[in-house]
Amino acid sequence: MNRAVITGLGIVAPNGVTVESFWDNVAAGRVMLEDEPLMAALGLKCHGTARCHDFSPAMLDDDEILKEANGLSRFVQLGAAAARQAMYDAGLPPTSEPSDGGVIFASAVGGAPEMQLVYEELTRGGTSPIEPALLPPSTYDGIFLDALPALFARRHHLTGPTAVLTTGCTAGLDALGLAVDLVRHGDAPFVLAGAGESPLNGISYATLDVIGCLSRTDGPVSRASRPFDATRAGFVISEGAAFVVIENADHAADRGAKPYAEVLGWASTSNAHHMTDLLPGGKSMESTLQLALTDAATPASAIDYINAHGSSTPQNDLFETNAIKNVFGDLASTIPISSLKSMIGHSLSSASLAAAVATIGAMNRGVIPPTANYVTPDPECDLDYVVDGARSQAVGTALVMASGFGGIHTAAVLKGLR
Amino acid sequence: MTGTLASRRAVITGLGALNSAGGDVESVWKNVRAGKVCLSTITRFDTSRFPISVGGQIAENSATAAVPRRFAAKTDRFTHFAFTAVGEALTGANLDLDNVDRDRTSVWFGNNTGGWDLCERGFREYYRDGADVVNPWQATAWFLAAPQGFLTIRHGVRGISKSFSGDRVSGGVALYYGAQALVRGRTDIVLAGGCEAPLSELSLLCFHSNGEMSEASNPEDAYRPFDQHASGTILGEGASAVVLEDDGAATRRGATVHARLLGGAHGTAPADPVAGYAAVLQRALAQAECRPEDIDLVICDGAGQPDSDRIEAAAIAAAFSGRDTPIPVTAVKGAFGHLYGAGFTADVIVGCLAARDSVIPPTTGYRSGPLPDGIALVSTPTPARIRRFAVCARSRYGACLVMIFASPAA
Repeated sequence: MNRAVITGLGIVAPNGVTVESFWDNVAAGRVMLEDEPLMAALGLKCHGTARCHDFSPAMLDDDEILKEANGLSRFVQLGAAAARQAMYDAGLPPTSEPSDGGVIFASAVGGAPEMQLVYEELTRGGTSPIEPALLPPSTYDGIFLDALPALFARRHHLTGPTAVLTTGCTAGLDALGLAVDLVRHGDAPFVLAGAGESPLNGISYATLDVIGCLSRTDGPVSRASRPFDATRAGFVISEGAAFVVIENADHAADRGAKPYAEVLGWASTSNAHHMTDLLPGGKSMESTLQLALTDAATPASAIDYINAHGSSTPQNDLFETNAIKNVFGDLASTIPISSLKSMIGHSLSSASLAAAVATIGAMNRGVIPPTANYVTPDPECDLDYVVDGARSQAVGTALVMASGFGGIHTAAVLKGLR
Repeated sequence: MTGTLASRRAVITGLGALNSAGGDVESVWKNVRAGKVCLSTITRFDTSRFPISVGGQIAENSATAAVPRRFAAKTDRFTHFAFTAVGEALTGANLDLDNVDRDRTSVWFGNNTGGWDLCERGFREYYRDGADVVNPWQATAWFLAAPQGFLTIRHGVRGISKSFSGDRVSGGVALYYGAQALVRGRTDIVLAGGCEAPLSELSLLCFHSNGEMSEASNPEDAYRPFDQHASGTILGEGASAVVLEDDGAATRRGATVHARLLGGAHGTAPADPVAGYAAVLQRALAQAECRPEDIDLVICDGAGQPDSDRIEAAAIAAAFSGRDTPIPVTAVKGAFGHLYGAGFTADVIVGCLAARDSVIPPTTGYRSGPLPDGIALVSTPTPARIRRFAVCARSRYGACLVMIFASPAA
C-alpha cells in the first residue's frame, strides 16, 4: 500500500482565512463567538454564532472559479477559497495538463440557507403557499452539494474520482479518510479533500435549538462554547471550510513536494444507538479510536496530542473523555487534549478538518492549542484539556476525533513531517 | 475479517427495490422486463401550475408499510423508502444479522436531495407557528445521511458506514465505495444502495432549475432516453438496495449469489465529456480484467436529455469499439423515472435479473433516434445469454461511474 501524506492545506475559518493566521489565532486562544440577533428575534434559547468575516469572494482570485462560484451558495464559496489555497500550497496550481487526481468534498447541510431564501421568495416570506416560478440553474447547483468538485476537476484538469460525502459532522474527516484509501490503493496520485459549510440560517438554528443542541448558557456570548467545563450547555454553530491535499508519498517525493504530515490511519463506526444521543461510557468512540490506531499500526502510547470533537454539549464531552480513558488507560491524563470549538464554534462537516489543520499547526510549530472558556472543572471530565493557554510542546503523532448526527464516529492518526 | 484481503471479492446476495414500477424487486422486474411505462401525473400535490407534472410516484400506503412505528414519525419519506428496500434485500439474502458481526456490517447509501417532504412541512410550520416550535425531528430527519443513520439504528449495525450525494451517480458512488470498503477489508457486509423522494413542490422547482427535466405532460411519452423526441429527465421516487458480502463468506453460509462484482472505475471528465466517459468505461473494463467482447450488456444512465444521451452513447460506442458486434445497451429508467440516489443500484438489480432470466429489458420510451455505430440499443424484450454486464452513469458535473458484474453462472 502507498503511504498517504498531506502536502497542502487550506482554511477559511472565523479566526483566519490563511493557514498562518489561523494557526496564530488558534494558538492565541482567540475567541470568535459573536451575537446572532436573528436567534433572539426568532425566540431561540441560543444567541451566538461565529462567522468568517474576513472571507470575500475576491479571495478566489481566479476568474474562472470566481465566475462559476459567484452565483453559488456560500458553502461552495467558502469551500472553493479553502480548496484553492490547498492546491496552491501543495504546488498544484490550475493546469491544462491532465492528471488522475481526485476531489472528495463534504458538507452536512449544503445550500440549506439558500433553499430557505428560495422558499421565502416563492411564498412571499412564508405567508402564502408555494407559488411556482422558474428558478435559475444556480438554484440546483447551489442547493445540492456537487458543484465544487466539478469546478476544481475542470480547473485543475483532474480525471480521477470526484465525490461528495454527506455524513454530517464527521464528513470532513470522512473525506480525508476516503482520500487516504484512494491514495493508499493507487486509485489517485493525490486527492483534494475538504469540507465547506455555512449553516447560518433561521431554519438551521431553529431545528438545532429545539432539540437542545445549541448552547443555552447565560452570560456573554464569547463564553457560550465551553468544552469540558462543568457548566457547558451545547455548541455554538458556525461556518467555515477546510481542505487538505492527500498525496501518495512517492508521488510527492518525485515532484519535490514537502509533506506536512502523514496520515497513518483512520477509522469510522456507527453507534447504532441514537441519531443524536450518546451513551456516557464512550464505547462507540472507544472502538473507533482502537480501529484508527490499528489501521495506523500505532500504539496508543505514541499519541502526543488529541484534537477532540469537544462540541461543548454535556453528553459529547463526557462521552469523549470516557472513550479516551478507556483507550489510553493510565496514559489518558498525560495526553493534552483541546477543542477548537471553544474559539470558533462548530462548523459541522468542516469542523473536523479544521481540527486536522490545527493539529498540523501544533506539529509544525510545537505549540499545543488551548481549550478556551474553561472555568469550572467537571469532576467527570478530568483530563488535561490545555485550559491555561497554548503550551509549547513537541507533537509527533496526534489523534483527531469527530462525532455527528446519525450516530457516526470518525478518527484519524496524523504524524508530523515538518 | 473473513478471507485474506487478496482473495476478497464482493458478491450480491440480496436485492431490494421500491419505485413506481413496483413495491418489491419481482414486481419492478416484471414491469421493466415488459418495458411498461409506470409513470403518472403527480398527484401528491396540484401540479397544474408547475413546470413538471409527470413522475414515478409511489402510492402512499406502500411507502410506509415497512416502516416500524417507532421510526415513522421521526423520519422523512426518503428514509421510509430506504427501510423498505433494505428490508427486502436482507430478507431475500436470508441473512440473519444476529449471526454476523454487527461491528463489521455497514450501510453505504446515496441520496441527492434530502428529506424535503418533511423540510417543506417544516418551513410552513416555521413561518406559521414560529421558529421556537419547529418539529423536533426535523434536524435528524431531513439531512442527507439520515437514511444511513436510521438504517444503522434499525438494524443495529456498527461497521463503517457512509453516505454520498452526486447528482445522478449519488447512489452508484455509495455502492462502489461500499464494495471497495468490503474488498479492502474495512468491513464484511454492506447494505448498499440509495433512496430519493424528490416529488415535493420545492424540490421539483429546484430540480427544474437545472434545465435537464422534461416538461412533458403525457406520462406515456414523457421520458424517452435516446429517442429523437427525448425531452429531458423524469424524476422518480423510491429506493434500491443490495446486500454485498465477501464471496467466500457467502459460499460458506450457502447464500444465493445474484452477481459477482468483477470491478469498476470512478472518474471525472473535466474537459471532453465523451472521451472522459469512454476513458472511465475502459478503465473499468481493464480493472475487471474484461475485454469489450466479454460484456454482454450495458445498462446505462439514459438521462433522456438529447445532449446527455448523445454523450453517453458516443462514450459507450468508443469504449466498446474493439468488438466485432455492436454492444447491446439498454436504459430502463423510462419505466419508473430517474431515481437519482436509487437509480444506479436499480440498474444493478435489473442487470442481476436480466442475467437470471436471460432476457434484455427494453429501453422504455425509445422508438427511434440517432445512435452511433457499434451500439445496439435494445428496444424490445430480447432473449440473450448475459454472463457479464456493465452498469454506467454520468453526473451533470462530469463524474462517471462504471461497475462490471458477472452472473453467478458465468
